[in-house]
Amino acid sequence: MPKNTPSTENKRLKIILLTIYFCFILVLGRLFYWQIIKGHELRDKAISQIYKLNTIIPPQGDVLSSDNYPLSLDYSYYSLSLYKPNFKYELPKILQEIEKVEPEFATQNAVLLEKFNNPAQKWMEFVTKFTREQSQQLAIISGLEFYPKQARLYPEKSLALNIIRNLEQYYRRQISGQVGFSRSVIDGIGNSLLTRKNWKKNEFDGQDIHTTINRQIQLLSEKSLINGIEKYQADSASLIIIKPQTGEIIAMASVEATPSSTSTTKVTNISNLFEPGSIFKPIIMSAALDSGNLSPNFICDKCQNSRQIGQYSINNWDDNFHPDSTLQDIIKNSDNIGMSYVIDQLGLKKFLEYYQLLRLDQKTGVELSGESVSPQKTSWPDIDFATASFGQGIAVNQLQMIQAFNTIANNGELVKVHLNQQSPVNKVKVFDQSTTALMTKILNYAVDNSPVSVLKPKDISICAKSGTSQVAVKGGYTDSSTIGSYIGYYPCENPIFTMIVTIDNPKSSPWGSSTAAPIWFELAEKIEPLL
Amino acid sequence: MTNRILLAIALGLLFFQIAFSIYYSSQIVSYNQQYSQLEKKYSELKFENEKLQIEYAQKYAINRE
Repeated sequence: MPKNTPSTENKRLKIILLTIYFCFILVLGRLFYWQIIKGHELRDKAISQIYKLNTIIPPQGDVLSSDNYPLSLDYSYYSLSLYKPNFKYELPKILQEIEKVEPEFATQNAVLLEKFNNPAQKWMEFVTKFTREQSQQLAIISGLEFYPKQARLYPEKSLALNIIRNLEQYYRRQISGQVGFSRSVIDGIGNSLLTRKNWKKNEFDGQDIHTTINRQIQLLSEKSLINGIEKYQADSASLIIIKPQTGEIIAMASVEATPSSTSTTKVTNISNLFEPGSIFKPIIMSAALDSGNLSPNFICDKCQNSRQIGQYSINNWDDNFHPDSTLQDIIKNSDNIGMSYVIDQLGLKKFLEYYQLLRLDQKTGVELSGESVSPQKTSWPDIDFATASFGQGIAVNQLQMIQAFNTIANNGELVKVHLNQQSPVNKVKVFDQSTTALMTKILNYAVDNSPVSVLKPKDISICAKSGTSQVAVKGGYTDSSTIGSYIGYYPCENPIFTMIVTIDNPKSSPWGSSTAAPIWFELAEKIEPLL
Repeated sequence: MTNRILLAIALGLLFFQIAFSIYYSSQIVSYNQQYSQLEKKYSELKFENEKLQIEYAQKYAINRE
């Protein structure tokens, strides 16, 4: 047998050595791959096995009425998902088990179940909301997974629903609170362990919104409007009731004969602009008296004829003339001609000053989204200035109108209207007390001596004004539709509420005095004991 | 003699360590169990509270549509 030569042995040793080196480099390379290249990924995987990151969803705030009743609140429910690969029974048997607990399940999810029957569809989430007890009963069935979810509940159903939803949108951040996070070390079965390595970022609970809405009055208001629409065959109706001294909105409602809006948060009381018509007259008269330019003893010595301004002629609503009218007569008869002379006494500069002071040129700033405001007029031709005296050619939203009118009820102080009890009461003096005292007398006289007084409940003093305005269409007015309004406060001395009722396109009568006024009086009688 | 003393100390330390570990790990386990139970109770109470709130709201609702 030939003996290995030293060179052959060296060769073999070199090969072995090289193999060892190669293996060593291979191990090094592999280590480099796992520790350097894949290091982060593996670390994350390890951390995810040891730690659990939880999102802490805070309880959301409620929206409360003035009596602290929850108008909207949060509730938890469970949504169900089915995962076919985990099924131990056939789908029909599983559905049978689910229906034992929730009989409506198949009906509520008919379309989804049809899709789920497709063999390619492995997983599906269903729409039925399960309670905690139901989910606990069903969770033992393999293939069923329940996820906790949150939703809003409105216990008063449709009552002030658009306002509540709008408020929820407006106060989204306050109501939702702030989500928290926690990271904790977990044991083999996923339970949290107490250790110093745990970490938590606290959640902040959502805040409750305490509204000024009186739900009993709100309910009566909505019912009155529904009855009013039916009785006067109107397209829609709306109203606002506020506390004169604080500007708190007690009720705000709008009802349509055939609901057209798809938005569930739209509040037409603030989004729709309308020409106020004659309900604007007391505001102009108060401004003229307060400016000192109009004497309380003013007598209209030109009211025996219609007034001609350029090519336009100003007439009264009933085509009658009222010569030598006093201020009381002008308001009582809702005299357009008389008012056009009253605004002349006020003058354009002062008119614009009061318009601004009464915040008719800006949003009320109520805690709702979607408030509209009319763009400011840059020029005031004589005819526009004259028609403004009886609320024509200017546009306001219902809330702006009641905020401005309430200044008369509140001894000349304009209070900012608001829905949140925590909002500060913001007051600005606009009219002198002597002005509002005189205006109160005039309004009281007008109510007691106008045909509308037959509708008024006996032995109570009401200071109010009716109005009827035409609807502006493409630069003109349509004769076929009107907006009837009634605005006022009760009682005349130390009023407990100010209310505006607007009725859109009533077919039984076009006048605000025979449509909006009866709703106002009827409601006033009902809500008086509740305040 | 010195060796015996050292061995006794070493054994003493060993037994102390074992006893210490057993005692404190049982403490940790019991605290963790307590923590899990309280967590469970808290979530039960939260649900109960929510349920009561909903019951109250539905009982005193005035809008019967």
